[in-house]
Amino acid sequence: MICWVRSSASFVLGNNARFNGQTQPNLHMPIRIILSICLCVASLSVWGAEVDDPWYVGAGFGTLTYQQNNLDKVNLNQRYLFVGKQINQHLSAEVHLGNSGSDTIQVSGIPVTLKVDNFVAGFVKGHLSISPQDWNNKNLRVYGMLGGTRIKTTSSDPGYTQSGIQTSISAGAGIELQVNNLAVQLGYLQYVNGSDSGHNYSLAGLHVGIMYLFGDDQVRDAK
Amino acid sequence: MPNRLTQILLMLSVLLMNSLANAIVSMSNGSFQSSQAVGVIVKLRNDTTPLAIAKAGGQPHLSGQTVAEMKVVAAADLSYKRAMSQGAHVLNFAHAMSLADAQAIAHRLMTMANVEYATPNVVYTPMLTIPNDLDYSSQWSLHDATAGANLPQAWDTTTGSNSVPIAVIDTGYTRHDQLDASNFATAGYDFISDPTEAGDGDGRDPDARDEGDFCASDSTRSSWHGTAVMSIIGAITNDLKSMAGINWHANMIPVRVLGRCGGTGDDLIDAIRWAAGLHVAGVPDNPAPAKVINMSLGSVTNQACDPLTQAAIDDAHAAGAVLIAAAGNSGVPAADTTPANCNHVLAIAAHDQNGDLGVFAGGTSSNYGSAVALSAPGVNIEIATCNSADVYSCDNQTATITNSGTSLAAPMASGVASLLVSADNTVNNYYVESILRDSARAFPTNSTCINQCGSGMLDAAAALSLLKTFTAPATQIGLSKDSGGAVFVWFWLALGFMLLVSARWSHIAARRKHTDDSAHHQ
Repeated sequence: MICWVRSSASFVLGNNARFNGQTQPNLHMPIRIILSICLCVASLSVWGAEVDDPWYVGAGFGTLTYQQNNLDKVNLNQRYLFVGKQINQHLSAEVHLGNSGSDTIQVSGIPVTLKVDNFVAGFVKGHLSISPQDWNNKNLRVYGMLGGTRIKTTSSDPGYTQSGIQTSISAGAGIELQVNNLAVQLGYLQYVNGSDSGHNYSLAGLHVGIMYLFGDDQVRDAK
Repeated sequence: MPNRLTQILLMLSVLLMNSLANAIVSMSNGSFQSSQAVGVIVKLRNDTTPLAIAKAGGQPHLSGQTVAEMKVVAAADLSYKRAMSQGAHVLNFAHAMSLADAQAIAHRLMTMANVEYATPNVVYTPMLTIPNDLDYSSQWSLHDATAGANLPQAWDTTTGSNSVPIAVIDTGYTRHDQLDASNFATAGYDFISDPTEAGDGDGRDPDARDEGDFCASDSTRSSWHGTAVMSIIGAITNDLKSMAGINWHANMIPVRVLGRCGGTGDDLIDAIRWAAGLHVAGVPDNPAPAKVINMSLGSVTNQACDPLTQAAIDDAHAAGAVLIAAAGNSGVPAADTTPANCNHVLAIAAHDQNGDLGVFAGGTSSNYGSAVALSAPGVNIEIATCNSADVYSCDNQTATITNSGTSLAAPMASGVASLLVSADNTVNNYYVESILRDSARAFPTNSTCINQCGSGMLDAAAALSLLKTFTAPATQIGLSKDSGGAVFVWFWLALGFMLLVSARWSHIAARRKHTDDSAHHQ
């Protein structure tokens, strides 16, 4: 099974290598990285999947700070929904869908408002339990996330409005506490880090989330 | 005899200068304006020359038949003017027309088989526009290389427009030969509600004439302040008379709030709202909401802008007006002076010909500090005034004097703001304010204005130049284009693949476990 996945991976990555030549000039390093990550995770998941791993859904909110060189920080409030599937004891796949409120900063004395219209992010989430052995029905674990985000922003001043969409590699980390079928999480995520029209920017923030895991006795399985 | 000859030559020179000046005035204000054309220049193809060109007196010219054909094709009233160099011919329109219309006619003519090219005969205007006003050379505020507002170069781009209403909230207007009816296309309003303060026997009324602002209690004379301010913004220019203004075609709305011994906040608040086109109870709405509101007035309140004044200013600003106020003449921080300290107001400090903080008669100086947006010439500024000793009225005057104060610096900035809107009537008030601040010239080394008078010295040419290249600040932040789509698609494909594999293997594992359990039980 692992060999099959590996051969699939090499097939896709092989194609990817060719894409860097004549046939697909628009594909860049991020694709290879993301594909590599996902396929490695797929391999691991297949290798490790021994139980009917649960799905989970949740919602979160938090800060989202837009930073750009030479400009004041833009502080936004993010809110998002997410759905995930636990792949095995240590890995999950998770999709976030969210947006943000708006914030206004002064650029050359003119108020400019920025907001995140929406974002869709997909992550592979690795987690490790750190809860004491004698905890029953509870699980404390740390996690790291790696994936990609497609984000749309709109900036506007009194005379002009512009929107744009970009995709970027995303990464984050956090901690979550699960009690029976419920879990709360606290984490930090950098959704986007890139450049547009000559300026470098990043969008990242702290978030708090709550999620519900479907199925029975998830705490034991998660451990 | 030589003296006589000199006198005659001098007179002839003056007459010649006058004729030239009038010609320039005619080109600037009359039928010839830039971006216009008076006709088309046409060149025929060489191979059709024998058919199209007739000979007359040895000089080649277009035949009457060819001109007639061109009139039909061009759908315009063309008349043949002359042959010119390079084998081309000049045809005139009956009247000057816009460049766009002329280009359309030229394009139609180029559809004719025997026409090699046709192009509008464009009207050109002189560069580095210098007005012929008699006192212009002494008006350092307009052209001085060190601290002037760099108007001659700005006037190459625009000399202003009558379609930009500029409200002057002040003492009202007087009849002066530097301000004529064209400057007051929109009637102003007298907002002084106290009949005694108004001095005209009633309260608010549609007559914004200056009835004097003298104060009997301290024996001050009337200042005719509004007239002075308006002359800086829009004195009739290029008229071979005394002074030049900034906007040669200014449309000023006198809004009277200062009367005997000054004015009061309630009248000022209503005046601001009315000037911006907002409704004020009991007063007919202003039919021409001001794009620029000049307030060469203030009060040292030693506190922040009061909420009511701020609300009026916020509303006026939201309506699209640029609000400009004098920083004040008390030698204190402008943050202590209202309305200079209100949000959405550009507070203008005064500097002298050396670019130093303006010092006025009596030893006071321009207000300064963080509330100041920028500085403008405000010392020894020529203004229209009244020579009459009459403190109640002043009409049909011609006098000008020089005076100093931030009251005279503010209209410098207002005039330049009106030039910006004249050059681009789509520019909004936020952009105008930003452009005025960001285009300001650095103070000279060791200037006493450094770090005290805002972003720098008013520079009209730099402001108009920045207007051309101005990019909306929204473009400087956030995302501007759609990109990374391929990455996105591949990412989701990979993630989907991973989940499919996971789900499939979970299913297989569960079945195997079930099979194993069954075998174990058996």
